[in-house]
Amino acid sequence: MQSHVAPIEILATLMLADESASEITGLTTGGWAMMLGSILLVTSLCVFCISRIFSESKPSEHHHVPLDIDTDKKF
Amino acid sequence: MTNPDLQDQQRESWGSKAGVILAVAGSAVGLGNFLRFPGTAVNNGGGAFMVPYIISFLVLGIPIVWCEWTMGRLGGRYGQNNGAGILYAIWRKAPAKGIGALTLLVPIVVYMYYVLLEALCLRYSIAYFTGGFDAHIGTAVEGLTRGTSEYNEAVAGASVGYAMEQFALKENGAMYSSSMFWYVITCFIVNFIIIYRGVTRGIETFCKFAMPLLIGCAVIVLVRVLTLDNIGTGLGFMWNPKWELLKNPEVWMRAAGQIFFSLSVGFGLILCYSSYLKPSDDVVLTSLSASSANEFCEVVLGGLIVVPAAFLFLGSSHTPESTFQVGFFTVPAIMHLMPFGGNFFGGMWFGLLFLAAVTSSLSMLQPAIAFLEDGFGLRRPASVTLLAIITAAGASLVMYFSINAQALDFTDFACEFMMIVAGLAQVLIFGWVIGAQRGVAEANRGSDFKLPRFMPVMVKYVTPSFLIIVLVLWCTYNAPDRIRSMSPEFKGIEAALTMQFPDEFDGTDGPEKKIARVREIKAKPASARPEWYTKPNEETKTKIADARLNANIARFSIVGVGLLFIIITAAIDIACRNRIGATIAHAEHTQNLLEA
Repeated sequence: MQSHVAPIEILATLMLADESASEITGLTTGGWAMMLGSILLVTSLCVFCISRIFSESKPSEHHHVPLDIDTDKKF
Repeated sequence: MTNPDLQDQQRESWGSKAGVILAVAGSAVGLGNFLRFPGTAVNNGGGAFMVPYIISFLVLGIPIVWCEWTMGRLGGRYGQNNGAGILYAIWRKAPAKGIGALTLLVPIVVYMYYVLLEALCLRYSIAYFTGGFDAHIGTAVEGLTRGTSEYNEAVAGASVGYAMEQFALKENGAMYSSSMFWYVITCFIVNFIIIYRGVTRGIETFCKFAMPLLIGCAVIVLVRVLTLDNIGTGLGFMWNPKWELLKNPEVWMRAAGQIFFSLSVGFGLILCYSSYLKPSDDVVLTSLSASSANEFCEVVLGGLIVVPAAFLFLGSSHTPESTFQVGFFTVPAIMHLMPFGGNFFGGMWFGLLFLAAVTSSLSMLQPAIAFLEDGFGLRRPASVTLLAIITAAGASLVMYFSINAQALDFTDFACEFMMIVAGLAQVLIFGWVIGAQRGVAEANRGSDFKLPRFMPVMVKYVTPSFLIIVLVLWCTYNAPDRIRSMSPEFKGIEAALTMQFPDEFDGTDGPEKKIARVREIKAKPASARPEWYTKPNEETKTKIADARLNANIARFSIVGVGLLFIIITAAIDIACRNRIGATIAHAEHTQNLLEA
């Protein structure tokens, strides 16, 4: 989705370098934290879902609510 | 009279849980994951972008996905597999038909231009594997030394030129006489053959093979990118957080928009796919699995490949926000510049994008096929043929008006707006028509785990409020520029002004200054306007004519989408009064008999 193609002048803007970015030498502590945190979060969610799907326990559709049997016992 | 559950068994349904997850994940995983996400993230705070992104995923994405899956499965019990029929089965009021029209219109219109991008991915993949792209670049870098910045810039320039040539960005109608035409035809045939085979034998079978292959290819390219020298600088450019940008509401709007478009909510695709579930099939875990697979492709694969590599080879200026520019201007250049096997990895990259585009295209076609069959009783050959004719007519117009991809851009703009409106309407129907408590209880039926207790409050108040804010922000930031772009007079004056004073509107406040100046000239009577506009030289005259043509194409695209909306709404109205209405009544009657 969303393709917003700019006019042909984009050629010119593409060639302009951003000076501030040239100072980047690597990942900062914040960068590491955000990158690893995001990857970990998304991967964990994925692993959780896959493990639930492929786990041997049957889905709850087969685990019906316990039968409510009135034994007429008064506690 | 038959039991609707028995009817379900006679209708098409998914063959396996893995199949439906891969099919829905395939519909969501597309060019946006690999191209739009990294461009949006890096231009909106880098690592800091993940804060509004994850909040949007939890507050907006997941609740809407759960709502759509639940409503889809519910609609399936009424014999409906299309968004319009599903929403009408839930809410027997006239507005449901209009909202239903959006769930059919958006996928059809998106398909009309998406198939061109799909064809472009196929074109690039083949060009890499056969050396065609190398041959094109070769002439541009003659005499330059590989590894120098001049060489890299020449490759970047040639890459832009190649994309412009392939997509005919300079001349309307040029795509018809290029090889791209045949790639588009090929993609059309492939898509319609798969869709003809049906949900289980076509979509599910294809996605079961395509999705693992796609992820495998992406992992191979990822490993290559992460083993490049100095990739740390590229990762730093992508992920180092710019916290100060979080104060900007536009960043939050972009994050919410990315989640919304990435998960394919509001499209009607999820409604359609989930309607093929059986009444007791799980929707909670299945939908979460499909969404998490989509997020994995987006954050892990999309976030680590394109932007870090682009920064490493070309610097920061080659990471624009636009999907098209990142995908077809920047990526081809970085694949060419990649040492050791650039062509192989380039071919593999565009091959995986092609697969992602096919799986998404299939999901865009299925809702309309389902509507034609549910609403008018057409059989598969007739519904597929009719839809092929409709989409081919639309795609041929988008192909013809290829200059600056104006038609594509404006239909995309209209679809984004309609998606947000449709998404909002669906959440409101879930929370207020079905009722949040009842809706959540319906979602929990047959589920692998229960939805959290706060979910009724979330879907009734929090998510709709969030969506309304997104819609307002989206209109505030995007609509004014688009509306101006549809005015031939405004664009004509702007083009002449740019020709006359090329350096006057530089700097950060340049666009505002230019808009104010155009408005000032536009407000004057024709006789009082400057001579360089009323009596332009030949070059300016051409620019004015081009600008006016672009504005007219934009208008035409929006009017075309509007007309299609009216036609689809009328078709839904007819279908709901006849076949859809009868099917729903029949299912209801049977259910009442069973309950009695």
